Amino acid sequence: MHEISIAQSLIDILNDNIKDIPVENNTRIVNINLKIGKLMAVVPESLEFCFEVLTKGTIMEGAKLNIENISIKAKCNNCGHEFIADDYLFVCVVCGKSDVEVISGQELQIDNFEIE
Amino acid sequence: MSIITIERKILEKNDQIAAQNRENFKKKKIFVLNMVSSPGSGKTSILENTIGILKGKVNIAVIEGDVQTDLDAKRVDKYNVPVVQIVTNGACHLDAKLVQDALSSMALKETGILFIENVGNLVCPSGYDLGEDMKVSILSTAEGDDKPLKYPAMFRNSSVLIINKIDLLPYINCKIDELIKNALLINSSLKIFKTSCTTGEGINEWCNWLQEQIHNKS
Repeated sequence: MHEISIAQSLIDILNDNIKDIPVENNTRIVNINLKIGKLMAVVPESLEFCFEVLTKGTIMEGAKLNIENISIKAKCNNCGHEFIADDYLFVCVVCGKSDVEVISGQELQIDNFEIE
Repeated sequence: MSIITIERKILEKNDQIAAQNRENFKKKKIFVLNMVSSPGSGKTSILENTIGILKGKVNIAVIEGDVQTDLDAKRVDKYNVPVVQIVTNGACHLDAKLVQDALSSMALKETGILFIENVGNLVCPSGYDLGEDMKVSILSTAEGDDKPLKYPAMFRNSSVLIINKIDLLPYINCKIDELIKNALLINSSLKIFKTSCTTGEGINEWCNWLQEQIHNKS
């Protein structure tokens, strides 16, 4: 249930970013665009639930979390082949060696948010 | 409607504090391990056995993380090493700030190794950098040989795997070769130890390796 900590960190970042924006009475954050790698073990539904609970009564209430799931991409250090490892098996599909490095799938990032 | 682009890492604050912790450890030449596992795998027993062997050879300090109680700190305290208990009050993992706060009450001068025993949980602690040199996963045989496949992030992010409770192997349906094969599919660079805190098997090998790591950092 680390999603509640992640939701709180996300809210802290948003608060940090909106403090310099002149906020009119009815300004709301409506969309939040996130990238989450599949190696981060984040359950989108849990994150949405935690975010919803933590933002009640704030200008983020009702904002939609648009989560782009990033595949786990690995690169073989033996033959250089790049492959998707969404099954979490870090074995090169070409040469069979398991000396591979992860090049994506560990993202946990907010790209942007929309206000209206 | 306007779009505000920020492109920030959600856990950036944790990562910043973890970097401060890491710098602090580097300056003091302390080798730091983040011990992660599910509840009941034997993290504290491994620590007790390790302290028993290493005490007198290297100065040891311990941070204990639990959702509730200071039972683990009390167990470690019997060995007369500095120990601080973090009670998370429900949180399922330690974060860098909790560790930084705990460090402020510890005298770490001359410390060679700091063990941070994380909250028992095979999922959440994997994404939170504490500033450690490496994560050590502990998996007991009774949990089953399929666990590395089921909880890949933890094993992928660890440098060491301790397979504990190997004395139970004759009585349970866990194939240790299968367990090791599964772990290496997730992370081929895992350094693997096989231990039993009941018989003491494997603890010396683990402690010898630890001493090499401490020597390399100091």
